[in-house]
Amino acid sequence: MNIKSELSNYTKYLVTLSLCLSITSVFLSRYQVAQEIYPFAPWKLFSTPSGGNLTFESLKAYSIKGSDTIKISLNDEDIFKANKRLYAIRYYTSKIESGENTELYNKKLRTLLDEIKSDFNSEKYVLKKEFVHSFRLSDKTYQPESSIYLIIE
Amino acid sequence: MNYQNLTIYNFKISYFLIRIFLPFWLVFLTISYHSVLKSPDILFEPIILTFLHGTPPSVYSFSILAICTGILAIASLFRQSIALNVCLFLLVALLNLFVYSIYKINHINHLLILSLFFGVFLLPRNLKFSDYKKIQFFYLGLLLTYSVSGFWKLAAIFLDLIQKKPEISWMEPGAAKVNTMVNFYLIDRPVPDWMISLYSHETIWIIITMIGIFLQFLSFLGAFNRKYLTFTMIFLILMHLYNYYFVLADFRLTIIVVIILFFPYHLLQPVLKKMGLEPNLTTKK
Repeated sequence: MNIKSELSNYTKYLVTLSLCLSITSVFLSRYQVAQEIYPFAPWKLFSTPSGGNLTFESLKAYSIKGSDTIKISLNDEDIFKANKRLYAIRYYTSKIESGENTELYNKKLRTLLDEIKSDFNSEKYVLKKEFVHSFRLSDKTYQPESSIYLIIE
Repeated sequence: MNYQNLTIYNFKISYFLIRIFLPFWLVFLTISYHSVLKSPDILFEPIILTFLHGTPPSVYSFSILAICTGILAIASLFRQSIALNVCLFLLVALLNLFVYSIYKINHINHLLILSLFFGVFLLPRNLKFSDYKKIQFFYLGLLLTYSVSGFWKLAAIFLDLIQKKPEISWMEPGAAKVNTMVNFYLIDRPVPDWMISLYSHETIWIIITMIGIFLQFLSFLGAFNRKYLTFTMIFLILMHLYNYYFVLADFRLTIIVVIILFFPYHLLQPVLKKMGLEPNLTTKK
């Protein structure tokens, strides 16, 4: 038997390694040592339905032009693009919240919102934090309670 | 063909098809990268760059890297080597990271990358029929990613049953619907009326959800039984389609990879032989 076909016996170790890395990754992110470092076994992905907690908080952006307040929709035909906008807003606001380079991330957030709106004439943007009752979303007239979270001049 | 023979046979065909698919995937990836880069520079923050403190590669250098990867993929069709496989795996994982892991690490294309990883040592020319156990491990590694996800759903349901918390588990009425409503709401997408009326049959949805979760958990059994693997392949395709339309998780490319990896090619063997299309799959006894 040559060396190369011997090596193929190691396939089972690769699989085991992958599993071990996944477990490590879960524990590291659970105890907030590091972010998910090994993404290939989505252990806890959707272990309960989204909205299963009955209420959740959500950030919605509005543009202010004179006395008009217009809601900025993240929706796009390309689902990945729309989701990316959501991640971006969450990412930048978390950076601002932790006080890390606030000015830079405010600027980035503004550029992002300009980009989504494809209109650069806004005076300022407002991010509102909504408290949403998941099960009331099927009621089309439902308006979640909200409060102003961040003003981006 | 008996189980051992057809396991080897199917793996060999998927080895070649993945490498034929890769250049097309790389073209798609390069186009995606181009559109990612078009958004203003400061918005572009792949996780990998926050580690490296670098600037993103230009579309030009990304394309060159993609072309090199494509050439390696084609080369590995004609010259099977472990070194080529290792390079291919690392390059594909790296390129994928630039496009999809923006703001947070994403699971997109996990199946493609893992199949290259687990397949590093599996060269078709060296595989004997008695090596079918190695292929079983290969399948097991891939399918476990689905099984663990199903396992956590079952664990969460079990905990919910004994703790009786007010939170909603997957087994309760309206779970699938609220999951859809929330995911659409987060990106301001209106939920189509046909979807809402489909969800009006609550009991049926509980049954569908529970069957789905059990099948997801049982995916790993496909590694040990060919018929069940074919069944799992169909299930995974349906699950990814449901997730795309109802949960807005875009794993459409993964559907192609699922088909390439798990398709029962042995059923087509007589046809392939007749057409003279059967690749050179001679196997040492």
